[in-house]
Amino acid sequence: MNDKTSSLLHTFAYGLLAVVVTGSIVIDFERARRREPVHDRTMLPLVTRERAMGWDGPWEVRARGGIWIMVQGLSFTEILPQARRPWRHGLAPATIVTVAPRPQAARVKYAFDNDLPDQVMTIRVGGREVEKRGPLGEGQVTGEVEIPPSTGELRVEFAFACWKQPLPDTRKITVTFRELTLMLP
Amino acid sequence: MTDQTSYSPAPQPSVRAWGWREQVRRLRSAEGLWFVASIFVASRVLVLLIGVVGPYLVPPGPFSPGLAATTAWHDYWVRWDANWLVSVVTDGYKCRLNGECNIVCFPLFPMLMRSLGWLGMDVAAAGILISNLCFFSGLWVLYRFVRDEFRRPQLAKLTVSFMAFGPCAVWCSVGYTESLYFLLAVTFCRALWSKSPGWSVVWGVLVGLTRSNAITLVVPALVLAWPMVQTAWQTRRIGRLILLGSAAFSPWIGYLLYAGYLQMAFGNWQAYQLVNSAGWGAAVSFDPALLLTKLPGMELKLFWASDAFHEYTAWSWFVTLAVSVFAFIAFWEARAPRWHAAFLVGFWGFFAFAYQYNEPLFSMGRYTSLVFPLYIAGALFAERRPWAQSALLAASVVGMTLTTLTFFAGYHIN
Repeated sequence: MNDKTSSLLHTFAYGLLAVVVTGSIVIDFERARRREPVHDRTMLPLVTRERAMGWDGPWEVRARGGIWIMVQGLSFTEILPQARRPWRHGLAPATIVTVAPRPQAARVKYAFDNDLPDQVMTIRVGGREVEKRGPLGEGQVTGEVEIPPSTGELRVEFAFACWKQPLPDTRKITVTFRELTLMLP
Repeated sequence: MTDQTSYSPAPQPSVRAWGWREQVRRLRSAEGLWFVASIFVASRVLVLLIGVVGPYLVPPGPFSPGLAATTAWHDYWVRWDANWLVSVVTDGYKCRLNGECNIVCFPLFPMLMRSLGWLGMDVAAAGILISNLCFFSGLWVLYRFVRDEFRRPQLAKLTVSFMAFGPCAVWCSVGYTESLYFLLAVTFCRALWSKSPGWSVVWGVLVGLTRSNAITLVVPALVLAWPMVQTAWQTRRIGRLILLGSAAFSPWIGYLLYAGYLQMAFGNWQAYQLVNSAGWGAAVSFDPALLLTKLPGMELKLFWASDAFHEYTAWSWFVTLAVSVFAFIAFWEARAPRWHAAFLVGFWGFFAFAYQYNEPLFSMGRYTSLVFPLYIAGALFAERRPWAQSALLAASVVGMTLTTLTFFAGYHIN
């Protein structure tokens, strides 16, 4: 093989690689653009890999089915390869979910892991205490909170008595939410 | 930067001068040393600047220790894996079921940290110091290696420039094992290339005690050792054959030494694999059937992975794959010695294994940053195309800036 043929072959190989790389990126971008998100419009999960709609100060904003929801006191979504589902740490002092006005009742379904034995959880809806549980002990805690119809915004507050700060993490972690979902009728 | 004049090393004096004055004189007159030193300092100053300024420029991530004015200096430089290495030094190896387990940290780097600790140095600071010293030394050895192998100083300069400003070079300045691995890996290959199997055994065992993926170095080592093996076989020098075999497989010797320690300390020589297996859902042994079931489902998801973390992982794998194919073409075009390609084959053998995990390994970018033949490939390509020299360097600096910003702002791109 002479040098010229060799050089042409190399140029062709580089070109082919550039085309394949560029093509892959363009195709992948197109798939991302056209991808229709599959959503159950009756559920608005907060512990999810889906991106939030945006942020308003400390509030994370999500919306679905004509209803919006804001949350604070809930850390970012985490996932490890060995875990099948993501999780989000609750942050001290409380995880607060603000739900938009609705003509119908709804529910907030929750499940979290707690490893602080003296942990006490207080749930307030619209400033009124509706449930107090504790000491919770170590393990998973599940439950649901009823949210009445409301003509204004309604705050659902999950307040926790204890938190930890495992170094070098700078967050004040209360519990680890596995599920926190607004269930619409 | 296109000077391709042939290079001949300076003639060696017939009488070896071992005095320290002579050594210092040699060092001061060493061709390329000041270039390597300048590149190292420039790249580290850039990392330092980004590290200090970065958290002010981008919204800090959840693991950000805060802004430079309000936090301890080493909080920026001792993160994630570095904390595990510090824990090995301060608390020793420990592995509790469903608890803390730090046996995935191989022992050489913590041993060096502890050695400096005995001299009164803070162990976290010792890790950073060792990391930077090793990176500089690694760049210097790489420079000499490329210069002597290809007999072109210009190619060596390009190579170390690409490496020092590589997209993932930030990990070579924090308290991670990357720099030590890089130094030992390049020294190991150089010793084999310069037909010094005795030294190769030393460097190989040490690199095997540094990181698990050192075992892949056996592939290029066998290619490098093969001509010497042939000669030894023809002349029936059995001792030499044993030495060469030991040299080629010395990273495995280091690995097995650590496995022996695990057997004594924890009663299981495969403890490292088992911990990885539990953590990543990985098989302890290679399982081609599992790999084949996973390959058809491979999707890029560069732009639509579930979150930025997974998108970063997808991009790491994609870029590494593209750069590896590019490197194979560059080696082919430059008719580079085969061990460079063999190095990449070994690297991908390891990651084919890692692809058995539940999800692709998210540290791909960090692992790739140490595959120095990739930078040699870039230099071989750019050497023939002057426009590519500044283009590749600029792309590297952009990549390095983004990675360093993200790292120091506290985003978990470990």
